[in-house]
Amino acid sequence: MAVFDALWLQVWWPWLLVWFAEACLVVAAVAIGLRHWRRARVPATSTGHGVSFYLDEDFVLRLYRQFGGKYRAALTQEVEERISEGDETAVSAEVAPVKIGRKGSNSSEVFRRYVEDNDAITVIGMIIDVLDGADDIIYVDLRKRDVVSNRALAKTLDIEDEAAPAWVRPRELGSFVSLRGRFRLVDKDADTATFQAPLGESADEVLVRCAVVGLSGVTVPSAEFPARCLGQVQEWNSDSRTLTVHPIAIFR
Amino acid sequence: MASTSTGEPLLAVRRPPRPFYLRRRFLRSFGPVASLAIIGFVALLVSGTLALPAQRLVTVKAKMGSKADYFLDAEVRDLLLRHHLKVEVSHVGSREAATSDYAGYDFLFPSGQATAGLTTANMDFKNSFKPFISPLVLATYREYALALVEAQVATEHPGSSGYYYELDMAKFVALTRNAATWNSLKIGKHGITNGNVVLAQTSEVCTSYGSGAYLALLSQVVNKRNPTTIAEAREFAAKVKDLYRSQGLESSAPTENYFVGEGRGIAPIMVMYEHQYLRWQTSHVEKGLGLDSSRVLLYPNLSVYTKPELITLTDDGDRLGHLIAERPEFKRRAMELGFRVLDGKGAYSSERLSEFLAEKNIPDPTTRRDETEARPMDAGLQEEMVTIVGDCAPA
Repeated sequence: MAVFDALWLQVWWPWLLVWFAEACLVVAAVAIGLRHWRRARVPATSTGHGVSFYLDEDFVLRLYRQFGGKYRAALTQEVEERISEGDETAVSAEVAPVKIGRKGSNSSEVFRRYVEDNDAITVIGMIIDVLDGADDIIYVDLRKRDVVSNRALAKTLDIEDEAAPAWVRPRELGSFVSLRGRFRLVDKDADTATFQAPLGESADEVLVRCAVVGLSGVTVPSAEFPARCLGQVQEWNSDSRTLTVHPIAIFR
Repeated sequence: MASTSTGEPLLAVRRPPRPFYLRRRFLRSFGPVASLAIIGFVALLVSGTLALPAQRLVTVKAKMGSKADYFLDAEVRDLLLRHHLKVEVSHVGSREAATSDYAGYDFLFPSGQATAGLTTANMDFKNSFKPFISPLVLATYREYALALVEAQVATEHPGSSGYYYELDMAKFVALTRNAATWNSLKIGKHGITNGNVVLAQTSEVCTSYGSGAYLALLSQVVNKRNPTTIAEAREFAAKVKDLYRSQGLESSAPTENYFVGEGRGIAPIMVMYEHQYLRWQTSHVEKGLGLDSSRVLLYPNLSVYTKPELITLTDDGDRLGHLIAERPEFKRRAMELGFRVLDGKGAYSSERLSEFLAEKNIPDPTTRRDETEARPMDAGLQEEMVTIVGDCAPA
């Protein structure tokens, strides 16, 4: 190698400096790009550092089995990847990962066990990744009373991506919605816990009714708390001025 | 607050955040770094240094005589390193370089056409290049040159400011044959006494090309022509042997002897190449010492141009040969070292050397007119004469 020759170095050192400076610049450019990419990526699926608050496991299983099998393949693949990445707790030993997806009943069982055996927040992360990948989540900020124009919204409104209107009614938001807002517990009985979040500065409110069984092991804050709710819009009640949303998951 | 006629609230549709790579904050930090990286990449690409740290340094081994001066020059060494080449020179006489074992070498650079012919006749070679030439000269000191002028053996070149003289070889050989001494030429008028016979010293004829070329010149002067057969070469060699050998022991380091302070007494006339003298004067000027006015050159009236031939034996040697013969920076440096550089077609133009010497205020020896070139001798016949005169081991 020429770099070990003193005479060669005497001739080439300026260009070697340029070369190493170039290498540093490339590394710096990649690092800057990665940092900004990660930062930009976090808000869209901010489940990585979240804490699960509520998870409707039955709905997650329905998501797998129903919807015409729309999400089955994607969910199966997600589970496969997560198991093969060494998630020991992902699935019990008697269901070998290698068999996943080979037979419908077997992969369904693996999925069920994955949902049961893993932290709710892990499952939520997976669900959001799959729904986002299918362009089926519309992001709503309840405090700002706005909705992000994305492909999911365009699909729901059956318009071109760039042709989003200036305003949209909540009931028009089909598919799944991710609501960000400040929630508070307003009612709780043996079966149901109801959370409410204001819609902007107005008197309008969003109601989220959760099955108490999905809240097991969680201490519900008595005061208002910021959270994100993944769910489906159900109805607008003009008398009570409330929008009811069926929750699939709530996380902070 | 926006709402429908049924009182249902309306949600404002917000454009999604711009992709991170279009955001100002990202561009502010990424833009300058990426711009510099692109400029650096283009610079490395254009300069061919993209893989510089992994570059291999090729060491090229060579055998040569006085042309080692070229490869030992620091600037030539740096120019070669810019092409990732390093030359390891085995410094031997050109004839020795041409006739000894060359296994393990990448190229040979014998000083002249005769030894090069000997070399190429005896081996497989890849290519040969003739990058520059240099006349054979008799280097001497001003007092000796003036004594020769007064004896009407030498005449000063017009416009040479007393640095270059033309030597009448027939008269010069006659002085040696008649055992004329420097004292008999009245050298004492110039402040020197020297009772030695007037003659030129050479390097070892068995190893050096220059000595063989001078022997051929002597033979041509004495015999009026070149030999045409081996028998004639042997006959001519016998005729000049005593004349040639009258110098006594040949010098193994003629250049060094000439350029030291005591040179005047050791060997007043030394056979060498013009480039060695011009390089000496250039260095003298570059050191701020001005021209060395004590040392002058005698050009034989029968000119002998040595055409060093770079004979390549390997691919690496061949690459080096192309660089030396074709790249302008190598030609420029050869000229600065006193060589007369040939163009791609092998033609010589003195203009650039003249310009360079004028810049250094060194008299230009290339202005000489009416040159008569000595007829080149067949390489095999010259070799035969060298072997006989020098009692050399056969090649």
